[in-house]
Amino acid sequence: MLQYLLRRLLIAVPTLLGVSLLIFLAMRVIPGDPLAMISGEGQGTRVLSEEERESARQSLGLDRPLPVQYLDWLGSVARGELGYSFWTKEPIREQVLRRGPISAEIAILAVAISWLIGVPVGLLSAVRRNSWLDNLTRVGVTFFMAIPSFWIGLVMILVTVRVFYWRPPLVADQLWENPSTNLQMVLGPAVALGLGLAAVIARMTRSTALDVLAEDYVRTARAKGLAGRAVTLQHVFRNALLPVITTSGVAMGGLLGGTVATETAFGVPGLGNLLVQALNRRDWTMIQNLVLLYAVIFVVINLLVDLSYGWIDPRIRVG
Amino acid sequence: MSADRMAVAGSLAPVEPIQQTARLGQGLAIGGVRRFFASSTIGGVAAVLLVVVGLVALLAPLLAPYPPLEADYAATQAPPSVQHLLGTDHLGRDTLSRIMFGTRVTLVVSLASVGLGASVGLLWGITAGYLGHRFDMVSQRLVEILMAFPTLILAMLLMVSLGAGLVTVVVAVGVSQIPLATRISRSVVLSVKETAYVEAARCAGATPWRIMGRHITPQCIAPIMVVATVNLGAAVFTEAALSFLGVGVPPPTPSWGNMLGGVLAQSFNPPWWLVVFPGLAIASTVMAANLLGDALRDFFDPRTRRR
Repeated sequence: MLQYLLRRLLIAVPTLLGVSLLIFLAMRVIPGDPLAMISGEGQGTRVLSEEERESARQSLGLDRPLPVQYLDWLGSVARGELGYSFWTKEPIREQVLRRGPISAEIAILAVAISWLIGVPVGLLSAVRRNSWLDNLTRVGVTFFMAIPSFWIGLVMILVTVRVFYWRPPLVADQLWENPSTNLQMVLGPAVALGLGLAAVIARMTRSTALDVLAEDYVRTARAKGLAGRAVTLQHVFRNALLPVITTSGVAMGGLLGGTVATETAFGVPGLGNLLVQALNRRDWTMIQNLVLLYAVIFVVINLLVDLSYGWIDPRIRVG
Repeated sequence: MSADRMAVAGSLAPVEPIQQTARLGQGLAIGGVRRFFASSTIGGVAAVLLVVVGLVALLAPLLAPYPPLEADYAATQAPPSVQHLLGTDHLGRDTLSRIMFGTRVTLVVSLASVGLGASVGLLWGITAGYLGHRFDMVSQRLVEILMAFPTLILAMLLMVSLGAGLVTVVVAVGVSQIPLATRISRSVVLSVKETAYVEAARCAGATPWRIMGRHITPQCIAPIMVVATVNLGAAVFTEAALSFLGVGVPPPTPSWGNMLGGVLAQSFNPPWWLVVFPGLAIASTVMAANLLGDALRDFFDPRTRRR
């Protein structure tokens, strides 16, 4: 197990180095350099003269050779220094620390919601195959897999404002500062994301549970007189869990992207909102660090998912 | 968001290539299309729906009641009425016309990006899988790097570095679909590579390129077609999300995503018709693409038929 963990960590390092190189190149090489990108956009800003541009490049360190710039960036990231926003001059690290927990809360709540809805619904629909419940589930799954989470978010806002005269709080609070406003803020995006994910989980649970139900050991369990519920929970549920976890792990990529869109829909000040803001302002120091952060989070989550296999399935732990 | 992607990845892994060629050979003929419609009512309905979407895109100038960019300041934010069946936006532009013209963006982006992702993925996966050794190792690492990004984030990064525009949306969405297509075709190649007929071709002196082109590529077509169909839905999703976030197709060109994004400015009391209708357009198109993908997979590989 430990050896497996170490090997996975060793593979992750070059991947992340490649990721950082790709981000760096995307930000520097394709459009010239970030400054050209910003001044070329010309969004209301005045056109820089040649000397001004040169001195700006010098002060930003953009006149140095690309490898030096890259290594410099890597070095500061490794030291935990994320630099300053190109636009607001705020330290990026503080922004990340303030907004990160909000996005993490949304993502974790969304996964929890999707499991609480998806797994029971999928199991029930497999056990009572072809019943009205099963048909309803299949229709619901097809529908929810086809609608973007940010649209669910917009519809939720519409309904709560129109019908309940309720709107999300305008000020952002951390969970430990003011749990009630914080939960009101994160619940919307979490539900919007969770519903879409629940559909995926329900579909996967249903199809693996159907496979498991056809296994010999389930028939044996039934034959030896175990109650239907005991068979479902102890034999079917546990064995159907592994693919469901894999699915959740893969779905994390969608979930991380989803937080960006739903946070924007709800106007929640999380990391995703920060990234969208940075993109619209061409805040390249911010973009570069945030995109790297998302990739690191995604890689780490996938690592954790892999490790959880061993915990759930003893066969993998031994083998 | 790309939830549907991995549903395919999961169900596609075990394929029986040899059976598939036979099926594909028939599948390409007209009789195959007829058999497909006969085999799955839902798949047929979904295919027809997608054709309708395509027709709307082609005929948008004829079908749309108003020009999509024509502002009518006498009727701003008008609710649905006889003049404006689906209402108007804050500039008085007709929602129905904008949705119809938005179909064009959706169609171009989804078809072109899926084509890009699938063809690059196919070529890459086949060469990597067949040549193996160092080339395969390097390309696997590259795919891993691309896969380390959440799809939407990768597309956003590419958008900012390439600059906003329709073509860059196509590239951004297409590139984000390459990794999955590469993985799938490579896995097919690895299983086909060891078959007797490939060995026979090799013994007969066929060059690697000929083997890849004549013997291996056909085996990959069916799985790639299934992936492509489901990616169609994912592409519509990604385009909508990019445009919704303001980094996709730039306004005033109407796209379903940026129509929804336009609502954000008034996010605390959005007019319902501006939220509901573009969203329904996205939902029905993606649903049709997903259902068609499921039906195609069942058609090509009956073993995975959903129960």
